Amino acid sequence: MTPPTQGIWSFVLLAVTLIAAAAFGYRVWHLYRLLRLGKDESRLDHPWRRLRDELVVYLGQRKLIKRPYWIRGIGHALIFWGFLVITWGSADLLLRGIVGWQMPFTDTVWYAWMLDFFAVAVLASVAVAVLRRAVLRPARMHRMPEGYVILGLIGFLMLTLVVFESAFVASRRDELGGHFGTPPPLARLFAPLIPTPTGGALFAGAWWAHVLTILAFAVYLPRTKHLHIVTTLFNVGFRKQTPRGQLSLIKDIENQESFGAATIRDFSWKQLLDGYTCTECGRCSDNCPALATGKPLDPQKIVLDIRDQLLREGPKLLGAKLNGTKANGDAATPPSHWVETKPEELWACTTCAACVEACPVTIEHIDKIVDMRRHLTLMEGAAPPESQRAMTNIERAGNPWGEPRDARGDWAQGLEIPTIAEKPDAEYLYFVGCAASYDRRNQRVARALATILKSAGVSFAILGAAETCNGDPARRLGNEYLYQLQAQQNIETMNALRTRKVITSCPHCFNTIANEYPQLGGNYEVTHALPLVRRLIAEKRIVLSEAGAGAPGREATTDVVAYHDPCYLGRHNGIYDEPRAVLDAIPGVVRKEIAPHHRERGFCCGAGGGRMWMEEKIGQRVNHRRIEQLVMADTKATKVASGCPYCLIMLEEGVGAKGIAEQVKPVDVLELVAARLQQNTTQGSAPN
Amino acid sequence: MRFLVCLKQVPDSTVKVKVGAGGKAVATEGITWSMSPYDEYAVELALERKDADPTTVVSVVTVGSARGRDALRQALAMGCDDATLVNAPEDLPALDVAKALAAVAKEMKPDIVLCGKQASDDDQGLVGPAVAEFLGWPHVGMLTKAVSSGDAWELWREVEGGHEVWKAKPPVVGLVHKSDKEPRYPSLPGIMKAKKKEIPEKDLASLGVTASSPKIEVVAMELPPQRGGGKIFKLDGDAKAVAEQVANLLHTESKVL
Repeated sequence: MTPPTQGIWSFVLLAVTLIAAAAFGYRVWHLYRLLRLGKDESRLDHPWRRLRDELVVYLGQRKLIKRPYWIRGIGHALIFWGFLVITWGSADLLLRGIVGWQMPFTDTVWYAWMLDFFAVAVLASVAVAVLRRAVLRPARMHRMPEGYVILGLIGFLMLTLVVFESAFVASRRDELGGHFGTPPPLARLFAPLIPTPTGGALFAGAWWAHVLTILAFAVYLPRTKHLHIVTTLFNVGFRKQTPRGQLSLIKDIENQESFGAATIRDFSWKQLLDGYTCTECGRCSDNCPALATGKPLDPQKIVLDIRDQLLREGPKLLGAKLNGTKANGDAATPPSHWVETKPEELWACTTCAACVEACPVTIEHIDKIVDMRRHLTLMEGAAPPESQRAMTNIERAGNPWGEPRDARGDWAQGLEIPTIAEKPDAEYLYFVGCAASYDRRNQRVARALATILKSAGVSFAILGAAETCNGDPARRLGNEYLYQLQAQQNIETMNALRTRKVITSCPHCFNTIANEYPQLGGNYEVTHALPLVRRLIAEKRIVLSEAGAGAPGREATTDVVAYHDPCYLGRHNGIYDEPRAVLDAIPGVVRKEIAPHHRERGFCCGAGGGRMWMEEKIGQRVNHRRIEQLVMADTKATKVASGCPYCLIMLEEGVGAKGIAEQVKPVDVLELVAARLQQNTTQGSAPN
Repeated sequence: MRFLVCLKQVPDSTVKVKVGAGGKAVATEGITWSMSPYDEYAVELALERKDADPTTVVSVVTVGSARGRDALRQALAMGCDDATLVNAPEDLPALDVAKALAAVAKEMKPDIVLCGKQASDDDQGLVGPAVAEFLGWPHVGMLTKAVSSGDAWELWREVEGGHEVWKAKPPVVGLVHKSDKEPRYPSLPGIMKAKKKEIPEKDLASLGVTASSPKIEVVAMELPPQRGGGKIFKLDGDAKAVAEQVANLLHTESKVL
């Protein structure tokens, strides 16, 4: 294809291209400088995993194509892949038009086919997207005019592409004779509709329209949310490679002067990049349990508040930086407090990670929320009063309930469960956690686990009164200092033990000890009880039967059990299959799913992120919504099982409040296992 | 405006109380100590005034062993300006404690002395009024709020079914029942600053106090008897029938009716 840029026109094209490139480059440079206002943070660990993410998440569009967004996800992927293929062609057009060079492969038949395939696919996707915005109007979408402009530009690009290809073929009809050689398939289709004489003019017009649209696109893009086309590449590449459940450590905390984030300068550059990358798709908001139950929190708004403030105040800060020394400049125009985000938004978060899971461009919402909570709690002492009571209790009694420190091991009395002091060569340490130690309902779960472990002949011991709260509630309430004190205390205790193997029955204990203690020098082989029990079943170290042997006279019964995914097992640690495998292995248990809110779309019980220790006065209670979902799923379940003490407490409260406590009994999966053990070695467990 | 808040460090309310060897005192081995809850309210009440008027100075003082520094540091971390420790034996009689506190108050010349209305360990409620007596100042009990009004103070006290507002000209002693808000959680910079702050020590002699008051002797101390397990009755019928059965049971079983 000869470009219509003979003579002076190639210089015109060159000039226009340079202007567009300058406009694009200037904006990107400006955005980059704003980004550098953020704090330093290294995101270069695990290079191979980063490469994998680029291939799978960026190129493969993995996080877009997932339920319940299949159709929209595929639509986006087609536009994106089309964009890549067509950009190659666009570069070819510009190169040919200006200097007469060409990009490799653009003359091949398969490239022509690919180009046309995507032109059609993109056009179809654009049509669907416009229809969705204009007619279906999903509530989560901000229907900004920007979206239509972009869709219009993309659509126009595709149309002009087809037109100039076809017109080109039509204009050369005479040269080519009846035989078109190997023109692109769409051109072959449409060329007959174009008379030869008008072909040349139409070709030149459509070609220029196409090329100028590309250049306009480049200028417009970095000034809109469609910047994500560029930033997603980096945002995915620099995503957190540490475990999702691991919050950042404030190093040398006793010698720092300020904590957490109160202004845009307190966020790291990566957190600011998250803001540039947000596509405003609203999937995070769509999945947020706080927003769904009428709380003021909207995860998308958290990200956009930071972005908007950066764009609004950043230029002033840069100006101040140029005019004076850095320190003086900052003092002259201090960035404002995160004015747009209110404390009550931040405190509504359960850190359930539904937003993080849903985000197609790997934005990290929780870290920002916790950073802002850190400021409130550590700098201003402004955590909600009820949560302050929990923190004081952790400080003074080693548990948020404020139960006596000494009484921590009392649940095990009379069950012949040794403390690690009594049995220093135990293979496993069972880190019981506060809930299973003090909460009467959850003590039954601890007893169930002890029964299972004994039945399997697993050598284990507990810390008893030497154990203290792992610090998770404090950390997620923003009290990094209290968290570190708690963690250090436990790490000191555990590092002195012979065993490195730790079992937890609480996903929060599990997440903190497995994912966060390494930051402070506590490295253990941690397993949650359910994966361990699954292994014990597989290895036939415990044998289950429908009636069990623990309770004489117990009749064989069938339990229909709906499984509720705890956030800190599932989304935070990817443990979806093991609990289900355990349920499936229990004779007399029929497993059901609380669809569609199961697995990675599981709905929080409302207690994570320190919410367990706060009042829930706004909107509907999250656990009540969860029970409604259970009812809606129509599983006919007689039990709802989870693997988390918080979930158990919240589900118990929920079935009570919803008046279905007689029909559906909340249990821990461990209790179901213990009730059906064949060789029940102790009488301690009292599962229902 | 200057506040002096008198504190006592007591076994924390989360501690499971055990009787020590000898059967005359609580076992204190390895337990957690903290500021007595009513004293925490007193500190909060004073700090709320400081929030309203930053020129307000809030001092805290305790009489007892060196361990009491922790309670003082907690008060400093919450935002108090300075702290004083009066070294004295643990078993100093309450009246002597009051004398020592009054002596400190005479030196510091606060406008208001606040005490918790009673300490959560021995619940005597003696020290506060005694401090007022030794100082010769008026005292107002059951305080929940202190509002400055001209050259006097409006002192709110809780009474059955409501509250009374008294007016007093400083100096005055207030015995605190509760504060408007829950005692504040210290900020981390507050905790760090409190750690570094110097806490001057005084002793009874330098305050001109001689331990001379009558002392209470504890004859014996024991835990309350274990509560027996409850009984569970399975009741059938509608609400009315169940209520009748409950009333019957309350009469025949528990004999409360």
